[in-house]
Amino acid sequence: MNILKVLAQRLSYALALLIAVLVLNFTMINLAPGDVVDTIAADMGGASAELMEQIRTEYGLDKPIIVQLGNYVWRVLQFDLGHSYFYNRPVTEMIFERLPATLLLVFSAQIFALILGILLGVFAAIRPNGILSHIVTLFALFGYAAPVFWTGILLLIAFSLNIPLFPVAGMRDVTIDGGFFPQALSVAHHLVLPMLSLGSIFIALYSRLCRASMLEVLGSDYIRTAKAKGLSPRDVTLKHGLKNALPPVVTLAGLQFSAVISGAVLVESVFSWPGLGQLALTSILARDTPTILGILFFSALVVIIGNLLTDLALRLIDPRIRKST
Amino acid sequence: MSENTVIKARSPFAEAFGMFRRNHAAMAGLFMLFLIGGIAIFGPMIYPGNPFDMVWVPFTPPGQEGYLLGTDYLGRDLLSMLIHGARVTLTVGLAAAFVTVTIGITVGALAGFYRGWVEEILMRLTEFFQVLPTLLFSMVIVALFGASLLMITIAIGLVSWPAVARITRAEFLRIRELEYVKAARAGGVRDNRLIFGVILPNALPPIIVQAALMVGSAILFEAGLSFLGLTDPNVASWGQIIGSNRQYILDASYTVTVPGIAIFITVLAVSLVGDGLNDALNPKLRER
Amino acid sequence: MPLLSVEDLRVELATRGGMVPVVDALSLHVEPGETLSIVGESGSGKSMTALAIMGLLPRIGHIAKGRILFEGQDLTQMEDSALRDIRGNQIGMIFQEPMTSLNPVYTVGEQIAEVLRRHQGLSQTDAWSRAIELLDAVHIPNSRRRAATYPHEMSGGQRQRVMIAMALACQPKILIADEPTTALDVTVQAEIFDLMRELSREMQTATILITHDMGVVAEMADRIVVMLKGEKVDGGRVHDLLQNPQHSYTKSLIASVPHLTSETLDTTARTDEHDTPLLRVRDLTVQFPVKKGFGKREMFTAVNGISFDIAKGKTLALVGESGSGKTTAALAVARLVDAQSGEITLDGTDVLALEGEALRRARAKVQVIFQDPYSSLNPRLRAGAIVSEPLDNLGTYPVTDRPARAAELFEQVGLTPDQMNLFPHQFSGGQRQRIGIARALATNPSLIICDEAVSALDVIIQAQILDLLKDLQRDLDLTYLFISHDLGVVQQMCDDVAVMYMGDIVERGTRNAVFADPKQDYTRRLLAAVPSIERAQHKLGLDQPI
Repeated sequence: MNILKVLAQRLSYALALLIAVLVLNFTMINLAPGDVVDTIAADMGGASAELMEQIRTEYGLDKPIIVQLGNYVWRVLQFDLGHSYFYNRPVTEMIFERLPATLLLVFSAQIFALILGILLGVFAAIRPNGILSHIVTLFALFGYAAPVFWTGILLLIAFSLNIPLFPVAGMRDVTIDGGFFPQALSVAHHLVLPMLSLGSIFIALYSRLCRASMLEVLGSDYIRTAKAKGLSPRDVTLKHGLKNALPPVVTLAGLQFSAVISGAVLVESVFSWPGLGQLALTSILARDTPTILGILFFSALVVIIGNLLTDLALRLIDPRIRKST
Repeated sequence: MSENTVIKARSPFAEAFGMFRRNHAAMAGLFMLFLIGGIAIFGPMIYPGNPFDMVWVPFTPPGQEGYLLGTDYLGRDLLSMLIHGARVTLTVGLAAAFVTVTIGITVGALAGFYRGWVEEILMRLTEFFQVLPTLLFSMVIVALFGASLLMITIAIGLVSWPAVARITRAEFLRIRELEYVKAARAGGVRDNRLIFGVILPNALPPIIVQAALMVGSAILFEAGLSFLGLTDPNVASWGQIIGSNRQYILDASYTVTVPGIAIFITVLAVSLVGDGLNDALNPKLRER
Repeated sequence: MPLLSVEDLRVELATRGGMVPVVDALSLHVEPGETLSIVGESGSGKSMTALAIMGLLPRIGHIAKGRILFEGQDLTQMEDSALRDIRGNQIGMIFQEPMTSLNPVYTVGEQIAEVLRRHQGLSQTDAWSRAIELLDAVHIPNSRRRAATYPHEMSGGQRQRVMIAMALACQPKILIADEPTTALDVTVQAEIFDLMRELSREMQTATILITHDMGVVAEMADRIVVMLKGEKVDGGRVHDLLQNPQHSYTKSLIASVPHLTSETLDTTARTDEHDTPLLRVRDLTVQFPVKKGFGKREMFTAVNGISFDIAKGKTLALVGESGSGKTTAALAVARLVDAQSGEITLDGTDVLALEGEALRRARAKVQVIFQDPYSSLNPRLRAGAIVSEPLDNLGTYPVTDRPARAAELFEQVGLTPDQMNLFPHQFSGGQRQRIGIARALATNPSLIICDEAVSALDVIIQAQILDLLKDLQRDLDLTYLFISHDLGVVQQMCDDVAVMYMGDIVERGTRNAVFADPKQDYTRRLLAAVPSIERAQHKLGLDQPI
């Protein structure tokens, strides 16, 4: 059906975007001063010119640049992102180890922020001059202005150090063994503070937009029609209002995926959350280029998947999008 | 109103400025910004001294021994670091926002005005840049090309422009269909004047608001990078103070909370001004 | 006892300048089954009255005084929940904008069924099948399938039919219709009115019809209330009022209704039939690419090989409904839209061959007066700068003479030179349109295109602007290409008429020929659809014309 065709289009476009990311990666490696071999040589504490030449041939670095690019893209499409000289492990293996932790943090913060943001936005819009409305406005300002790592540290000081409700660092308690359930509970316990600090910026963004979007929708002609039908205020606001106010919020959430991942890098650093952000930071400090670029590639993939999900969600909400493509 | 009163000409910008001046929150934000700007410019003269000098015992709490904000883990004067950090933070914030807005307006205006394949290519490029996680991408740029303030500014500008480009394009698409643009074209106005003289001034309000927000987000961005240690180690920025002291939050949490408050207040002030501009420049709100 | 009576109603809006009355000392009543029309122009308070009856005043508005009695109960004193039981059940309402009045995210069937579930307690399936019956009743073909479609898949006329189905779903005692056809084409308007008449007779529903068009009133209403600036200035039975209007405002409203067929049209000798026309258009075709999915494009033909001439000093009207291609054709003549093929010759110049700088220079010869007085002037420029913009870019006027020329133009269009300093938002709609006219005159163009130049104005202002255009044509020997959907306006303005329908010119001729003796079916339908006082008089059995 139609939806499959759309999905096929989106997927091929996503693939094109991914290849573009690879080309960018490749360009940056080549633009940056020094190449892989210099790095290896530096790690080995210096190498002879002959040995370096040998390694260059081994990595195909003596071939024309366009062939190198082709090889690089081909390798990545086979999930081979190269070898980390710093960790002495395949990059893909390390990323797959870390990816679930980041995905858990990113998606839980995103969903938490969406739900709470929409709730706050709707209630604020029902009484635009009420106390909750002012609180939402204020919270939106504060949430946006506070650096996410600072919020994290404040939460850490308050709820791990002063009042020890939540663990200080990590993702699970290694001393717990047992079935899936206690493990999951431990992860959830560790997740609370990172999710709160990462989510706070986005709750601010979404509640503010949801409030504005609701206010605009509530002033529209079809809401007047709904009232003229004699519907209850609840049906007017939720059934006729909310569904129309959602698309801008969902669209914004889709655009924020890359920002959520960026925030996650900082939050992971604060709470020692064992995700991609942590790996990225250590490999950047170690100038471990294959790993960094591999992470950039995978996080772009997460953003693209997030955008696809947003697209599907929008299609479910708004019939006008469903029919237009 | 009497019929004879001479009506005074009031430009839309003059009316917007009048609105802005009546907005207390926005004026408070503007005042805070002037204050912070003043500290950044004149502070180092009034409170001289090298912020990197170790002046006293580490972790001296605020107010003791004449150190208003105390000392950090190396015994450096926190107040002095904050004052010097203001310069770095504000300069990077403003410069990066300038880069962002310049790239964004150019891309958005060309795409929105010329349509066709120009738009197709530029918007694909914009979407491409939106797929890259901003902080990770700028981390990579800084890691590969060096952590100078200039590179940080460029990196922030390079990852932030898509939002401005989208808004500019949307405004151009809307305005180019309005009748006064058609009238200007019928009146023989040339393309470049049509873009910069007719459409751009009318597209500016949302772009100005976005630019104000960009200053705030660039400041947060720089803070994030320097918190992670990806910054010029020879300058003291607010994020860097937090980053270097974070291991010691048990001993001296003020070394982290105080610079955080500085960032928070600055971004808050920028947002208040941005909100005020939004209310003042948005004609739809003005009618209500 | 009347079904509904409004007694001494005063509605106020809270503005920055304090409480402003928008309706004051208004009394009216509606008898069962009759049609009462409230007439007035924008800002007269007629819509606020309707919203006050429904209890749907905007947040900033409130009823300051008076009573609204429905079957003896005062609606202004009623509990919200009791009022909701009446709304949509005993009193239904339809609005002006069918495009925005339906909820875009629910199917039309659901939106009708919802009312039935709410007020008649029908089950999901019963409500749905009743909704389909209602779609049948408002003559929507394929009702079973159409019930499951969304509003954006329907035309404006169909959406208004859905609105009617929704408002009449519970067989209300009163239907309030607020400018229900203003946003629709004239032939669709006629169909909607036929439908409203049919259904209100069937259901014995009383109607309150709110409109600005005296022609509509004459055809639809039993009684009239005329409102001006929030107050009732005239009222009575239709035929009394039409024959013997009391207030001068009522008279001017009646005078603004076109008399399409009655008067004998002047037959000025046409001398230049065989001369070379000023503008000669042959086989003009304009197509737009339409995006169909990812990367695929199809061409949509907006103008399909049309041909026409205009002689110097004359006016040709291109008439048609929305989507007929009339505006596109005119903008192609002005080279503001690209033509695919055809020939356009203006004063001996091949217009379509012009490119680049030559095209820019040639723009001085064709100028456009646009429709919307609010978006046709650059809000950032002073009125004087707007008028001298073409002078600065095209004119042959030396820099030093331009201010004087701009001042002269201001006087020509009935403004004063000291207003040149003001910004567009400081002018009224009519004044703005005068600025637009001054701008079009600036370069002494050979041809002026009036693109629905008076459609956005209230009838009385409209008449003033039309007079100005006629005076200017006489004094300056101007040639107009006049684009309009309004046959009444066209009849007052033009020498020749070309009727467009779906990209083609279906009929072309002198004004007399087309209006008095239309040859094509479509033209006849178009003319018949225009509300006219004469026809209403005829129906009412009155012989003497007014």
